[in-house]
Amino acid sequence: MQEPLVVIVRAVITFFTILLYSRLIGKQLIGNFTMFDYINGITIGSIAATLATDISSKALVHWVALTVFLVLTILLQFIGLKSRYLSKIQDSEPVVLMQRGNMLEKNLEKARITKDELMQQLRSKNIFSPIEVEVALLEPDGTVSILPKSQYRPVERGDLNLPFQPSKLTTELIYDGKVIAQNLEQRKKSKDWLMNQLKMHGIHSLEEVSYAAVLPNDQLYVDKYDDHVGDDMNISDYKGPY
Amino acid sequence: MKKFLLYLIPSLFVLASFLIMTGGGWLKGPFGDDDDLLSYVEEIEVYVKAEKWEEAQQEQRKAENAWKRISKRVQYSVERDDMMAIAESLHRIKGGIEVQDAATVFPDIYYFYGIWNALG
Repeated sequence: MQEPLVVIVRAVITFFTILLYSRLIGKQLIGNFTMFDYINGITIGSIAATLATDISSKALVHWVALTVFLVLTILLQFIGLKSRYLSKIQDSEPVVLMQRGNMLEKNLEKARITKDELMQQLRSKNIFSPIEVEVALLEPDGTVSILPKSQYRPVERGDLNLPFQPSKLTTELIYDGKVIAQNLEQRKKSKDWLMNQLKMHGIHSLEEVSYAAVLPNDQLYVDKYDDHVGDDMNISDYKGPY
Repeated sequence: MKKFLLYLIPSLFVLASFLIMTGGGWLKGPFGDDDDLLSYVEEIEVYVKAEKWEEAQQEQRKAENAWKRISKRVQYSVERDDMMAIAESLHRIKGGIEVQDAATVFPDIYYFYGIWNALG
């Protein structure tokens, strides 16, 4: 048996299989990482590693196990979409850990979270006094969401009745010297407008541009390949190379 | 077209992976004139029964060469232990023929048949 060759073939199969399967599972695994998702992810990874390297058993056996995990994961996702009740059984419900500045010891105990851990979570959300908390929830994905009391919330434009503009995104128009026509159209700009804007930045050819985008305020941000950067911001202590 | 390729390429990949992982069953069969391992071992059985040791030795050599070819084809889909068991049984058959002892050759021939049937 040519072991290295077999491992190479099995590793290639495994690599692209997990790439394909993770696309099929979707972004949920990263965005909403519940305890089940966490363990499921580890198990899938472990099966995949065995598929790639354990040549004492048939590749098909591990591949089938991997596929069963994929099918069950997608099935549970669909069940969760169709029934809110079953979705809550799967992922559990948020638990109230604090209410009006009071720690709810029973719920903390139920969630097996110590007061130290709770305080650490508050501090990580820039809340250094428990009295500031209106409600703190332990989410199914393990994060703690905190709603501060209204007197401790930062003032927003709406509170002061200040005028505001609708929010927009930054839209890329040039990437590596190439114009992204779809984005230009999306922001209702013409190529002539773009070229004029570039001229105003002293640019005469698209090839000079590394990156350009329309900012939310409709201004054009341009980054040229030629950076003209000095050495005054170099934080390295030695010449290198390292 | 792009969407078609988006589905076609992963589907072909899954199909190819599946074929590689399950191909042992048909890849162990003969693909040329000199890689019919099962028939060589069956010939060995016939010659050993007739106590024609020289002919049995020739068939054993052919069987070993055939296994060298077949093992390269089936290694992606079968268990390493099964491959080692086949190589081992062929070596034991060789030893039995060398000392012209049918009593040691036959158990190994039937051991080979058992593994061969399950291979793939």
